[in-house]
Amino acid sequence: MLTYRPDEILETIHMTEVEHLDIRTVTMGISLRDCSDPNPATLLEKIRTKLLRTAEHHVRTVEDISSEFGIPIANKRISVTPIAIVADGHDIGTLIDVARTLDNAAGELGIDYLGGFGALVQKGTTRGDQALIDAIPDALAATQRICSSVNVASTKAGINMDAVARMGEVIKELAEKTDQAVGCARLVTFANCVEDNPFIAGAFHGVSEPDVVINVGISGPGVVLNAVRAAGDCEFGILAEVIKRTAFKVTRMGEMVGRKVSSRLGIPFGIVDLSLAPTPAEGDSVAAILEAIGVERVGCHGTTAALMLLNDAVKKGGLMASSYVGGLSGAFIPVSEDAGMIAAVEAGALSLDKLEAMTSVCSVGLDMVAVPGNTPPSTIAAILADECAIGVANNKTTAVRIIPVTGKMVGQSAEYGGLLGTAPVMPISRFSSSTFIARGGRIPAPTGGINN
Amino acid sequence: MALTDFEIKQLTRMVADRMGKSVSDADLSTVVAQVTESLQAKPNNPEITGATCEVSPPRQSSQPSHMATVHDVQTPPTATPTHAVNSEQLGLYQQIEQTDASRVIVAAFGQNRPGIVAAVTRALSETACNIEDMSQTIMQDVFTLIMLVDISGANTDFPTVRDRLTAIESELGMKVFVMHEDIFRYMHRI
Repeated sequence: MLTYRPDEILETIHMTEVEHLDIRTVTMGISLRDCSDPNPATLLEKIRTKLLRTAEHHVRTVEDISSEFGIPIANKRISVTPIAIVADGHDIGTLIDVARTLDNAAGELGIDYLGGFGALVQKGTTRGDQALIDAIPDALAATQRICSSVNVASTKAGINMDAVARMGEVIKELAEKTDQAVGCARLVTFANCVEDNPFIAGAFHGVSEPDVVINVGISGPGVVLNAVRAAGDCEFGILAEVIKRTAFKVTRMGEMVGRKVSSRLGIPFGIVDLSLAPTPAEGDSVAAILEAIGVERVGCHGTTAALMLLNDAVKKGGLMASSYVGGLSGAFIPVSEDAGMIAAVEAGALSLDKLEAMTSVCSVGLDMVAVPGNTPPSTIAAILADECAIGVANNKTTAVRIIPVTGKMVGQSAEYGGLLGTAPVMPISRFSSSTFIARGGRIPAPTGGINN
Repeated sequence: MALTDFEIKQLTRMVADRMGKSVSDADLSTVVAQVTESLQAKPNNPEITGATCEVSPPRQSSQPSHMATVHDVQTPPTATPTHAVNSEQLGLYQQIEQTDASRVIVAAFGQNRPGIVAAVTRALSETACNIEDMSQTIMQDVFTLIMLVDISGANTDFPTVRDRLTAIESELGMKVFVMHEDIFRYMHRI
């Protein structure tokens, strides 16, 4: 008698071959805290040397494991300590050089994206943080692989509205410096960011992390979609059970890969992030899952409840499957990277307002949302503030990756191709938020943050 | 405190399990010596089965040589997990961290016709792989052959074995999948 039943073996093969189950990313987190130096040249050299030496075998090891175990691993990435901490005290010019150095090192290592050109300013902004934020537009425009994230709010600190206002301007500047504002796809504004997120563009290596760590992000919307479809017209309790079981199996795969990579590289294993991360590929869509749950089109009434069920069941199923669950863990709802979301926007079913409501129950926030190129910075800042408010009040991570596509209006789309997909430009409110944003200061932490 | 022969044997077995089949005798004895020493240094040593011991396998020698440089990073070698583990944890970690699973699942699907088993077993025999278990069945009109194969004695590496097996696909008009057993163990067994 075989140890495994034929239907179990078929199920696994079906998941990888037909349903696009893959490990979305194996991300090596590297601390650069020991690279700080008052001399710009030495700083750059230390960063370069540490990256090249630490991650030398990352790509090859992950590829070996992918090939040996027959599991597709889509991306090999790196996250580093927020650069505002590493390069504190340096001017904008040096910070841009740091971005270039990181970009070149990532290129040499065969890494497509490196996250961590960022700052943590939820309570206040140091001069170093300010320099980094000011450097973001030029730094991202001058590089291909660098991703940036700025945490502007937390449940404990409240919302740093000065930083929010500045980020509105930074996003606009970056949009104008890159073709079709594509640079904005590499910039995330966070509330309650997590330190071990393996997913780009929000990945960075937190200051409380060990020197080097391996974090794994799993995916598999296609697997969950097929499970939901196969479950048929069952009631919600059963549906949640079906999703949980599927999430468990998918996460086990991530756990195994993380352990193997970590053991082979001799680097501690951090966490598995059990997120449903859609891609523009057919069937690899979170929107399609929500529609399979029963809403005619994503964005119609009932979508938020369906998403809550999905996000929660994914977490519950994954929690037992891994010894260390972390990152963002849940369902991502990017617009341009999900064929079902794009279709819903184009059909007029999904608005920015509904998307904002959905972010209160999804794993992150407004992601890969295109808005008209002439959107004022204060409106973008106000969108960030709303999203921060949802995160801060609900003690969850929220984020905004918004793209004001230069020269484009509602009804048009920005074509990015590849994983970034196609971003239909979504309408925004025609009323102004500028007086609100101009107040400045910090919105105090909610009572929920004062829980000691 | 001195350990009895029985305790040392027990310990050796635990360490051998923990380090996997591919470990060399020299590495094994180094680690056992290390652990024995650390246990003997403790004044009140409980029984081995409940003992807390530091296991730090000599990674540089038990891993591909190109990995050695990872430790040269300007970081302390804390990258090696040297945390204390007790025997129960040892069993669990051994189960989940074993790096060189030597068994693979071979699954072939297609229209039933003569020669399928022969072709698969020929490929396995040519690469010196050992079939440990085998089952064939008709599922939804599709002939399904599933084998549990030990590749530890294979005369070539895993990718070559896999390529040799998948080469049968065109010969027989079937789909052949070869995946490490670990994947199925992780996914379907708690």
